Amino acid sequence: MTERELIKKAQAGHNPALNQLLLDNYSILKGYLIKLTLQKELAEDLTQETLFKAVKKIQDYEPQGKFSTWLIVIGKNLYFDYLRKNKREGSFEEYQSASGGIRERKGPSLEEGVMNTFAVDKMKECLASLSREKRSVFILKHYYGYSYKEIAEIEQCPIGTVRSRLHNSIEEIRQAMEKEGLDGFEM
Amino acid sequence: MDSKCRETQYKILDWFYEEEGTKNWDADHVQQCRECGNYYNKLLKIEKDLPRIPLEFQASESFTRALEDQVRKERIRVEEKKEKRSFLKDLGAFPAVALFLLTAMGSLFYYDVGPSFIQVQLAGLLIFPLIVPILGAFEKKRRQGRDSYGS
Repeated sequence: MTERELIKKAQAGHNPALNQLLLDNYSILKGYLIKLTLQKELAEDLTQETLFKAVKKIQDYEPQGKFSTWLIVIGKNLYFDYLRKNKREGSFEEYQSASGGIRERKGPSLEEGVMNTFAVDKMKECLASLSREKRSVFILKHYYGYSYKEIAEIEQCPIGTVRSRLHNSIEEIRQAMEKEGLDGFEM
Repeated sequence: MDSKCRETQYKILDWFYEEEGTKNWDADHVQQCRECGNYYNKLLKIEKDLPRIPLEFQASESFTRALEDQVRKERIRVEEKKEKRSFLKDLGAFPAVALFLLTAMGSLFYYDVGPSFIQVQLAGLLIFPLIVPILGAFEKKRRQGRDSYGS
């Protein structure tokens, strides 16, 4: 069954369709929130809150793009609300424990586990170096392949801003990598 | 970085992230400018160092159950809201219709046509049951006529 069909059924009051729709998008939402917040516990709470909010608002949803875009917008807004209320942002240390949580779930073999640990460590260091707006754009483009247009809808900003944020993220990540000596950026 | 370099790098970025299907940057500039020439390599290095790992998360059973519960509760809440709204609609419609009828009757009496209106209604109520058997007889005759025509 396609996503559109599931949405139609969910809006018509079909509970299993709504459950399936939400669970299909659980992974992408949680992955995005973990990378954005850099805090595992917070990301889990926000994922739950986002999905519960989506359940309440499913009747108002107008399918235009991907369903995950809508969930990401809700999740991102909830996170920004949280920041406004708490006036703090995820620290690097908190993210280290979060990525520990990520690593536990990785591949079954030792080799795969080591490789993933290395990749996750790099990822967290690079993402932590970005501001939250740039981080969000970079995550959406680099990890989830959203188009500029979709990112502009999520971020509620012009496409040109998305493009320049992505460009700046690339520069900042490269600088962070150079600083950490993660890879040969001696060009 | 001047505007030419910025524009070139944006175009490389668009191509790299598949926003553009073709390489439409100024090739001469890329050959001459070291920074722009290296930009694509920078992107490749980032791609290599930050592989697009699909971090797969499975919702736990308890979470799935909690979500199902939430969906069920929400449906019940929506249904209750709908019922409440329908009840309130009925509650609003009744006084409106009653008010209309009372106003109509009041107007009839006000213009002194009330008694005659009631008389016509009563006459109708008395005559209608008397007409029914006659209408039945007419209908029977019509059917008989149609059947004989058919044969």
